[in-house]
Amino acid sequence: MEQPQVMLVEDERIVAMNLRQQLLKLGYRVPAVAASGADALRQIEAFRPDVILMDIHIEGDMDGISTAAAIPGEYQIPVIYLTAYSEEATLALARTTKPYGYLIKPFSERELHATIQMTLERRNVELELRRAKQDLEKIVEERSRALDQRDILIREVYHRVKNNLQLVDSIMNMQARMIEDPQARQVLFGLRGRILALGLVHQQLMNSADLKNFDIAPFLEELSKNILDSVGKSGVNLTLEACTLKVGLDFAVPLGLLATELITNSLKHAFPDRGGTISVLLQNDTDGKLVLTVSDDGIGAPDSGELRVGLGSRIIGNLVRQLEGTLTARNEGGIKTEVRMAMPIPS
Amino acid sequence: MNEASMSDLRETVLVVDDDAIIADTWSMMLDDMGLETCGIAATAADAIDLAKLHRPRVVLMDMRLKGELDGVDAALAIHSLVGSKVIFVTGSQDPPTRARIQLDHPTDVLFKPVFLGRFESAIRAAMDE
Repeated sequence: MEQPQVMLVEDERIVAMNLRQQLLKLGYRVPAVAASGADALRQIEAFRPDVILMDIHIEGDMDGISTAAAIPGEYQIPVIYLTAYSEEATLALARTTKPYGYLIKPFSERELHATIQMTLERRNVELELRRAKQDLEKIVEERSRALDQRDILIREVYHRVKNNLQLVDSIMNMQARMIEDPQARQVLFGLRGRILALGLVHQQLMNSADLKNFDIAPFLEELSKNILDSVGKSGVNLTLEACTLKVGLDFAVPLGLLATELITNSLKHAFPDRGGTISVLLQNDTDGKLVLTVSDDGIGAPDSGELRVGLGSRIIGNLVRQLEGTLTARNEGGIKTEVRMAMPIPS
Repeated sequence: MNEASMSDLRETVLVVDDDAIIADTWSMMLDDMGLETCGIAATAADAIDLAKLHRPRVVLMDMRLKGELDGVDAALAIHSLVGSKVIFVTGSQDPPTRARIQLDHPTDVLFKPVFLGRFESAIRAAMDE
């Protein structure tokens, strides 16, 4: 390995010559000796030494401290101050330039050698740290870019999912127009409602910051409003009260479908010849369960022993099972359906 | 846009969507509502040409279109040249898309998938205004 270059900034000629001899004897190269700050900065530019020995009191406008401060930071050249005076004010000022050490004149050859060696060692460690930090920064930057790319990709996929759901709805709509039978049309209508619920889950996901979790309350609000709009039954109001709750796809899809089935059931059966109100309630219970209640003030079931859960009963059963819940339905000035389920864990 | 240009708009709807099936469905749904679709365009350029030709009261505008220009480009041009009301339909709800749509001061924004009730109320509101 090449011998380290030590540059000397010292305005007393005799001292400078003496020091240079010592350094050469210790095996260092001494590319330049500067007597003033301006001279020193020029030489530093030309030689880029490994270490600078800087006398604090030098001739000219700049002292050693302001010279050290003027060395461009990116050169990373360590400075060791040389001084005969060690008054606190000077040392405090010198400290602001973050020197690697001080040699108080007079100093021995051993002190000189040891201080330079320690400085070179410390500088190597710092350069290595700097390199490691730069490597890490590069990795972080690459990862951030990959993450951004991933987000764009996920948004694109959601976009396509929604477009395809729109397409499915379009095709069903075309089919519905060809069908005369009102019951068959009703079936298609029910299918469209279920697809709507899936579509809304994806809409909500697009709005969420992490593309994984979103608040269930605005989702239920949008969902019930859309179902009511789609059915277009006049005189039926819908009220919604939902607690704020962060949920993921795994929970939102079955819950959304369940709410769709229950609201659609009420719309279909509760008000054959008059208006009324459907209430949707989602709340935390004291036992840590989450409770979805859909109730209406409609005509109720004809026989209270056999509550109507309609055509969607099989779907409802599956959804309740998926949500690890239990369902109870009662005649209570209309039908009141309550699903008690486990609190979801955010994904 | 001035009073004169607003009053000579026709009671029709221009459908702009680069997906043929979806565009056809919008047209069918409009037909079910008793409204005439004056044309279907898949690109911003076609949309602007058809709008100038037919002067529809309402334009149903998909955000993503074939070609380089998007729905906002087409809507801004139609808005200043013809004065039609624009209802946006988009599959994207991310903030940049939303912000871009707001550039045109849209009459309404529908998010895909759009379902019957929401579609009808948006169209009715725009036609009646």
